[in-house]
Amino acid sequence: MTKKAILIPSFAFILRIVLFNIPTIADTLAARVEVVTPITSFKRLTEGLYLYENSVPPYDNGIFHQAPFLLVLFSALTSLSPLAIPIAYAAVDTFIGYALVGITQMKQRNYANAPKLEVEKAMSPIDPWTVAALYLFNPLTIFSCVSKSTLIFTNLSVVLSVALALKGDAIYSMFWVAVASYLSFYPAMLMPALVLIISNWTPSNNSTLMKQARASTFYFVAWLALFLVSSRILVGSWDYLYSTYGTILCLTDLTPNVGMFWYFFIEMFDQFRNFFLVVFQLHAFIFVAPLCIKIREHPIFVIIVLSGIMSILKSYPSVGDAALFLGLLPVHDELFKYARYGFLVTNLYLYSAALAPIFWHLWIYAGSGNANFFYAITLVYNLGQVLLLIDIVYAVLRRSYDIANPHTIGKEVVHK
Amino acid sequence: MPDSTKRLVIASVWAVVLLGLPLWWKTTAVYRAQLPFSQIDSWAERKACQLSFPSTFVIHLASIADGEPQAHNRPLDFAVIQETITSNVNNRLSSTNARECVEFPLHVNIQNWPITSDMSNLLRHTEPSNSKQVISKYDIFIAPQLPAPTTSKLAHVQLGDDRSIVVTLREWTTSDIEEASSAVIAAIVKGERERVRSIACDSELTERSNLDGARTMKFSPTYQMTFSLMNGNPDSLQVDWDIEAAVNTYLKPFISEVSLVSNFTVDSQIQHYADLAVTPQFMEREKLPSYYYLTPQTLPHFINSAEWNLASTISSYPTINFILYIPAADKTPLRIHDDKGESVLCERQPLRSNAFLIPRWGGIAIKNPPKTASGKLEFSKEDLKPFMEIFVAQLRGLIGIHDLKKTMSSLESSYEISLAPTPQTAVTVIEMDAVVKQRIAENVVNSIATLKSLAQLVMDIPNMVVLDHIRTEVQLSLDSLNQACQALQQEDYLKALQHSIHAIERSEKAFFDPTMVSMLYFPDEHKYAIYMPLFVPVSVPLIMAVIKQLKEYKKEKREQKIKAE
Repeated sequence: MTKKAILIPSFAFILRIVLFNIPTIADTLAARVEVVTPITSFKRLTEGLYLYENSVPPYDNGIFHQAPFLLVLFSALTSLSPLAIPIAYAAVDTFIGYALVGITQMKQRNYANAPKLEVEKAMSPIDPWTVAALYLFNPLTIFSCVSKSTLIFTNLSVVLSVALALKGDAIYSMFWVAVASYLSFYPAMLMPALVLIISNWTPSNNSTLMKQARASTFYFVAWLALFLVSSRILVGSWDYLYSTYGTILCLTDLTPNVGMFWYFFIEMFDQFRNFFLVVFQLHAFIFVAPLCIKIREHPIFVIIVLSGIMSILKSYPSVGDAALFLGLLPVHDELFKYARYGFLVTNLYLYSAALAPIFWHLWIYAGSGNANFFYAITLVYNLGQVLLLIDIVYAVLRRSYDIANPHTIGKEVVHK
Repeated sequence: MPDSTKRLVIASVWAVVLLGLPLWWKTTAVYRAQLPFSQIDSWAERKACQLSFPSTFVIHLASIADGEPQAHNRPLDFAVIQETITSNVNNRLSSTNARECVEFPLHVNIQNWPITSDMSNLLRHTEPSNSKQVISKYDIFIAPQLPAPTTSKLAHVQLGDDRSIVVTLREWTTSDIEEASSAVIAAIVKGERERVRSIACDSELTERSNLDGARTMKFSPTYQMTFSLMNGNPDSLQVDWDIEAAVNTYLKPFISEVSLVSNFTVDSQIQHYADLAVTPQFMEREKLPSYYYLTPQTLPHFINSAEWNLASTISSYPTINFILYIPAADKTPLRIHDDKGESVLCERQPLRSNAFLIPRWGGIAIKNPPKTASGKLEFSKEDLKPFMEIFVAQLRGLIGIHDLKKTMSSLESSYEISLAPTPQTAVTVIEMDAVVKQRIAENVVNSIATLKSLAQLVMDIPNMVVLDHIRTEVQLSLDSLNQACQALQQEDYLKALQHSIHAIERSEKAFFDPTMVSMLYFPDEHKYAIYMPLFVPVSVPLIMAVIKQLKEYKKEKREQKIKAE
């Protein structure tokens, strides 16, 4: 146990507990549209929880859109002590940091023998605790945690599934990715990449991959079915399916967020609403297969890119999604030397972070702006994320090319 | 190896796109419930069901036990009389219009009416042919005029306040019986037949030219009636009225009688500083007090719609307004001039009632405050009585009640007519029957027109979504039309009225449904504008990639061939 291993998590934990105890910060964050969405809001969860504890069907109010397991979890937490919830949130976030440390260590060990560039052989890879610190002290992570957004449980599940996949544990990796899919639907797209990690794919073992894919799919479907059926037993009807996944897929709640959906579907002609819903939702999933095929040597990287795509293209994104994406990014530290847009992307993030609350205020409270102001800022924010994605995908492709063709390093490669 | 990866990637993207195609088809499919177009058309062409407004007259011929009148003559042949009357009436009313879209079957029954010789008050003796009063089933009691006839007129016709008519003949002959009864029957049915025919058969254009149709409000199951007391200048005069008591006493009976056709909600208001929008002219008279007056040309502008807040937000029902206007002191007395006598200027006289009606809007009465009045003027229930009478008369016109007196006046040349005193309800049963028939005809015709326009709209816009509930409403409306028509043929006017109201309500519900707005649907060209921004950027790289791969594949093949050679 190094000094870092004690200091970083304990400081992160204490910071969160302190912030939880400053009501102005915690309450403000819990109400920000950038941080909480209709499907992750703690306020809506308490509403559902109240109904659930009073034996009223919790989905009847049309406000609560979260998975039934969260009801059980929070029902247990609130019965413990009022302190239990902040402690649980802080602990979960800190634990995600630990899991990132594990992921980084295992990635560095598992792929130690992967081909490398000459310059990398002399360099030591990133310190796993740096990855954890980058996640734990990212303001977006802290905001999302202190807002009590239930997205943190999805992020925890994703991180755990990656960690367990790196360990080669198919059953539990699939368990956690099933939990993530169960909680917020979109992480289901991570499943194929996890299979690649578990089977430890190399060009020589295609048959193990197929075998692993079949087994993993079975585990995934089985876990998911188990969750869905037990949820049905918990809340007593299948209505929750429409209220949770129906809301995610059909976008019934048009509360603004940092994503692209809400404005588009407010303006959409009713006649074409269904068609464009299909287009938008398919768009989020269209990248899975190409990425898994093209970058199959770096399945962790595929997970990173997909979590970035989720944080841009899911129907109710929040900064918590970006926090996961940015938290996973340093795992592949070897790509940073290829990044070209670092300065631009950083500025776009800062720009939108500063202007989003201002434009929101202008629109909602001051009345001197309109919805276009806020939507423009979400476009800037997503532009930043898209640039970042393009940059790292370029980096990974160029790095592979450079490894295969060392003589081209530093030269322009023209793609015909 | 890298080539196969590239192809796999392209194939996987294309797979998702192809998966999207059936979803595209499914999500933009226009759902069109099949509307019963042929049924609507057959109604529009009046082929589905023959509209008929039958009426039955039961003629009670006196046969006095003492035998005196019968001694005049041989026993009357009922069958022959019946036939003659029917053909007489039909001859009198035979319409010039060859194309008959409504029928008016007439049933005449003749019965014996045993009475005693004491006939001082025949009306009291009459007893309806059946205890239950049925709309459009009338009883005519015919008896000889027993105390020696005093007038030269053919007969004396007495109209009761129910559906019975008593005719006392000067001479008890078959021809007179026939003549008198056909005249009475014709007089009663003539007006309503003409109106129903014009509603049912004539196009809207001719209906509008008809003054009568222009005056009557458009049918609604409920109207909102607003009584407004407008005070020209409250500085000199404060006004108040006991409108609630007046409405309860003078209007309620009428409303409850008319409620068969429409319901009314009543509210009232007092408005101060109600300035006139028109400037009345001044008439100076020698020896007589001078006055201000309004000419008929200025009356349409009497309502100061910019400043008088008459639009109600209480309900969405059509509003009937009644205004009692108190002019300001500097415009008093204010009177209304008639059109009559316009050629000779000095002969123009102010109207006695000082009231006028605005078609399809309401009525206005002007009350000039007494010269001595100052400070406060309060209208008690009794003070309001003349105005309420005016308003009731105007309301009769607005909802399409036609004066029976006027109808019967055509008989006056050869018959002596006496009407039972106007009942408190201000509408007699016979008048009410005519209103019911008119309303049935109007509802049936309007709902057919609404359904026809709906069918037209749906056929004109092939992209319009027609949901199942529209079809249900249309079907229900057609069913109600059918039931109304059946009920008419069975002479059950109450049922027909109910069904016709259902028919019009349902057809309008379907027509005014929020999903049936034509503005929501655009022509196909506009769809390109919606799809282009999506499909062009998506499809160009996809298609280019496929073309490139195909080229490379061909090249490979050729190279392999060359190698093999």
